[in-house]
Amino acid sequence: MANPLKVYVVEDDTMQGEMVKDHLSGKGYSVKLYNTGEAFLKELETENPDILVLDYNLNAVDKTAMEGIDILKRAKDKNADMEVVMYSGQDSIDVAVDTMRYGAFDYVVKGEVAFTRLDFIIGKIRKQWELQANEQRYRKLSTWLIALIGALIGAIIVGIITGSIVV
Amino acid sequence: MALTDLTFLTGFTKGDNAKMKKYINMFLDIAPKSVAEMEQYNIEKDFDRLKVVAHSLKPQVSYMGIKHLETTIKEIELFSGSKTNTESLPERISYFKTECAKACEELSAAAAKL
Repeated sequence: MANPLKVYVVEDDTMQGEMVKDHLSGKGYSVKLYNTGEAFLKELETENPDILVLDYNLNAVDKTAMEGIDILKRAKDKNADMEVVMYSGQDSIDVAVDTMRYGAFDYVVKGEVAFTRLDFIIGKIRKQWELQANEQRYRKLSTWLIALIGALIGAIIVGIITGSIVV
Repeated sequence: MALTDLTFLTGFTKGDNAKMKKYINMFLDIAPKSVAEMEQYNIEKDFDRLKVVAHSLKPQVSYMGIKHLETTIKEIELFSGSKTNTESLPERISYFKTECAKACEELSAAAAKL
């Protein structure tokens, strides 16, 4: 069996964090929960998560904690391949656009439907990775085909010149 | 009439009683503290912090199915965030406190039965 997708969660709200963690673990992902962005950034030195679910408001408990948008910028600087899904109680298009401008893949509003939406977005990310992998495979294949056709044309030309191929 | 509706939580936990109990107990722990914080921030006129607390509490009220308090908590968040209608905040917080305490009693009884 392939390694499970590593989905890390940064959420300072204990109950929300537990719920997201339980939900994603139940889907078979390898999940780690951090209650501050700072703790997550420290782990990012040695860890390599595939997806990060990041709370937008991270200073509800600790007033001095870094906000989600700052964690997003730093996390993307450290690991550009990791996809980030912002998670917030703010149903604001401006906030959503702002986070996507800094590299977030998508934005989920907290609430009862958030968990279904999270599943949908992770599905979309996986699909995007599949498409990228396929594109890479096709690129490699087309490079190989071009080389093969080139070699064949070369062989035919040599054959004609040496007389082993009569036209 | 019931003040809470555990339909969402039952679906979310797929009927796992231990998990349901865990989340209900978390709410029972968080809600009174959050209400006290809202009262304090309102007294101090620290509307930015008041907004943060209401903002965090909002989805949890929904998860516990306390439907009749969803509008109140949204209004507390909205008014404190925009610093408008702030004179109505004490009344709203007081209503939220009373109703939330009743809902917590109900949730506590529900958790005991699980």
